[in-house]
Amino acid sequence: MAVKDRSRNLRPDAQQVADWPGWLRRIVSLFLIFHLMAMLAIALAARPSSPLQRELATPFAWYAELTNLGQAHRYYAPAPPPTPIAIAELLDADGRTIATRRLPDRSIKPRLRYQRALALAFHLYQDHRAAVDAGAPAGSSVWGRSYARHLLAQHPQAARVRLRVQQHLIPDLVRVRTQVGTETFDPDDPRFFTVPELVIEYPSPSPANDRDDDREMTRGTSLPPLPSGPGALRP
Amino acid sequence: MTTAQTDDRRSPTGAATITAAWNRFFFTPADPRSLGLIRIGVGLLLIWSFVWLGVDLPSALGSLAWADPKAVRHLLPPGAWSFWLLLDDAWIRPAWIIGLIIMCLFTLGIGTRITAVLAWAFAVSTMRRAPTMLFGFDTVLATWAFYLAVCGASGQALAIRPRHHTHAIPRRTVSANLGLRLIQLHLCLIYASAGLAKLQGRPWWDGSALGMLLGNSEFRTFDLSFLADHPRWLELGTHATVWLELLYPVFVWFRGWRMIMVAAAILMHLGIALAMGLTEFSLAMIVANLAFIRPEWLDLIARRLVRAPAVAVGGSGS
Repeated sequence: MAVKDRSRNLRPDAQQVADWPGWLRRIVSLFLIFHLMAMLAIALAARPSSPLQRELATPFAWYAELTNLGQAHRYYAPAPPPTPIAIAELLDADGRTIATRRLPDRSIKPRLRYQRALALAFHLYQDHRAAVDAGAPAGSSVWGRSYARHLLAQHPQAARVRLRVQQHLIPDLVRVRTQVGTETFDPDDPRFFTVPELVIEYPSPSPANDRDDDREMTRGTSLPPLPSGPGALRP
Repeated sequence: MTTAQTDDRRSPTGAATITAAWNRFFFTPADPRSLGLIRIGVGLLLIWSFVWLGVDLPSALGSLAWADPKAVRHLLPPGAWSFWLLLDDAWIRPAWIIGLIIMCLFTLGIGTRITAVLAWAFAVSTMRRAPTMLFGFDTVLATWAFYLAVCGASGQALAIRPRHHTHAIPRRTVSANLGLRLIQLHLCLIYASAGLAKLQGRPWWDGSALGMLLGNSEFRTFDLSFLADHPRWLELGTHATVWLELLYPVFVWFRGWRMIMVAAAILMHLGIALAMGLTEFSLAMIVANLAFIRPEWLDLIARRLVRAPAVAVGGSGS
């Protein structure tokens, strides 16, 4: 777009535009046009989207990654989702549980750290489901293996970690309406949790199933591109 | 003079009209005080986030962090970057301290042409290094930090300056206007994306979405289940959320509607903070809404809140 101001007689306040020289305005305008096109294209390309929308965003992908502005911001859409929970069982050499950790742990303070724990469980669940949907063998979750290593480093007395995920479902409003005010309603009732799914047992109890950790860690079997995932479902 | 010539003088070409409107929108000098206030808000939130990151530093950024550095490095898309991946464990704590100092300087408005860029670089690097710990708060905060960095104007007002460099009212600048415009446009994009995406979901149409969110015990900070006895209020809240997100990007540009839209958005975010505990995310969005608030209104509020004038805090005039 040409930015030469040929219409100074249009509005008196247009005179203030002359604060910057024309050449500088042209350069900045080119950047603005590119940037705004990139932001719009990236926002529209998040799924669900058409192949056309995704193709239009492709030329801007490098810019979105460089500036870290590639988020879709589709919060709580299409519907408020259940909340993923991760449960880690730390086992000794005999297979006895010596500690259990829940993500998120509700005792975590302040709230920001709790939100980060929620995010940890959310990303683990997404990765695990992507691996399952792709038909990958058990224990293929990249983040599952990564979390397991972290937990073992934090609990040196543990020999193994068993990592599971489940969803905390949202009670429907009808149930709340019929039971609210009574002592029977509890959103943390086990009925509102899905059956836990095993993400990984690490190291594997069966030596035959042990793999080259570094190779597995970098295989990236299931993860979507990083910038498009985090903000899609929850703020 | 012919009629055609008269019409030509009165009606400039379409391209000239668009160009003039473009220039007025982006290149009219603006009061930098709103941008200064946004800088302080973004800076404080960055510091808050970074301080608590420090508590969990090895778990977030170390070699045995939740997100393994090898996996993170491999999964980084082309163009993405994080300097944390270049540092050994021994250097993470010193780098974190440097980052915290930079964020404090940025918040105070000291050397913002450099500290704004560095603060943004720390925010983005941390997001890229610990991708499984981030959520919407981090992404919107890094977005505002980016615009404060690229416009180079965030320190033109409400910044710590030598006494002889301070002015009661800072000079209006084009760079401040660019920063404000970019934040305004991105804020509208966020609301539009969120609003349009909600139209795909039945709970946002049948009015049950807010009840679902309040029933989520993993998120809620207060037990608001008594509101289930008042379903019409929950339905109203659900519909109001969608309508606000859809209407905000349009009506906020009309002067008569601007304060209504901004006030409604602030109310919505306060509700999200109270009901769901997403305090930091809500504050980051409220801070961005300041881009639509005229400094004269801020003056009015400041005069009522602070009787004594700040002596050493003001605009640089540069």
